[in-house]
Amino acid sequence: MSESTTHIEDFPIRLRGNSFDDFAVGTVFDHHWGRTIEQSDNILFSLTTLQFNPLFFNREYARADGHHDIVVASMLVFATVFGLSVEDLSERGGAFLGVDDLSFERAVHVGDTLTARSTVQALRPSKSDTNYGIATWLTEGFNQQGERVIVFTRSNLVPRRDAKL
Amino acid sequence: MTTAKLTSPDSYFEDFSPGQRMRHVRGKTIGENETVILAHLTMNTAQGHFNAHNMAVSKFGRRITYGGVTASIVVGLASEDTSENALADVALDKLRLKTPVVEGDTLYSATEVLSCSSSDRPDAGLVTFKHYGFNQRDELVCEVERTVLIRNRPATA
Repeated sequence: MSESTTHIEDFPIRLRGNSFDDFAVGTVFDHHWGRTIEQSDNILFSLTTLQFNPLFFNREYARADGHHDIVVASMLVFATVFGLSVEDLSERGGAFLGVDDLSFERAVHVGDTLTARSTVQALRPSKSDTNYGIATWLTEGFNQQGERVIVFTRSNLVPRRDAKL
Repeated sequence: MTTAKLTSPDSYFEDFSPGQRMRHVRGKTIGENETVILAHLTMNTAQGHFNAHNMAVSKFGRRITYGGVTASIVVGLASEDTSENALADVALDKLRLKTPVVEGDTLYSATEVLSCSSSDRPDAGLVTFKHYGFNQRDELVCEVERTVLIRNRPATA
C-alpha cells in the first residue's frame, strides 16, 4: 500500500462520450482527429487479419491494375472510420449490434487521410434492458479531398444517462 | 509483371455460382495483438478493448475484441477463397455481431455465394457472398453479406 495521502478518487473524472439521452435524431457529429493511413498501418492490419488480395500489399500489382499506390484494405477503411466515431457515439459501452447498407465508394491509397462524420438516424428504448437505448447512426468517411470513400449505418446499445450498470 | 501468376487460377468471376458453399481451411486465434493493438491502430477509444483491469470486473471477465476487427478477421479468413482476384470491395450489408469475442478465442469462417451478376465493366462481375464466423465452440460469432467486384478469368490463366 502506498503511504501517499493523495488518491486518484480525489480528482473529478473528466468523462468522454455521450449517453443515449444526449442524442437527438438529425444531430451531426464531426468526429475528432482524422487519421492518415500509413503503409505500416495497412500492412499490419491487412496481414494480421488475413486480407489476401495483392492489391493491399504488392505495389507493382496495384499499379498494374491502375492504382498509383498500394490500396488500403477495405476492412481497414471501415474499421478506422468506425473507430474515429467511437468516442462521440459508443464509448460509454453497450453491444455493437450491426452495420447495414455499407458502400465502399472510392478506393483509398496509402498516404490518404480519413475523417469521419455521423448523423443520428433513429433512437428507440431497449425492451430487454431499461438501462440502454438502441441508437442508429449514418456514418460517412472522407479522404483529404473531401470525397466520400465509405458510408454505412450502424446500430449499438448505448447506456441511458441514469443507467444503473 | 505477369500478375495472373500471383493469384489462384480458380477464384475468378466464372468460378462462383449461387448456392456454392465452402468452409475455409484456416482458423485464427485472437490474442492481444488483435484485441488491443488493432483497436488502437483503428482509433477505437473504448477502453473495453484495452483496459484489462477494468474488464476483469465486467461480465466478460476480460477485454473484448473490437467488432470491426472481428468482422475483418472473418472476412480475412475467407478472402483467399473469395476475393483474391477482386478488383474492389463494393459493399457490406446485414453485418451482425452475435457473440462477444475475447482473447483466446479462435475464429473460423464459412461462406455461401448468394448471387453473381454482370457489372458495368466488361472484365469483371459482381459476386455477393454471405460469410459466417464461428468460434471454437461452434457458436455463430458474426455474419455479413459482402459484394465484391471480381476479375473475369484472363485468357492467359
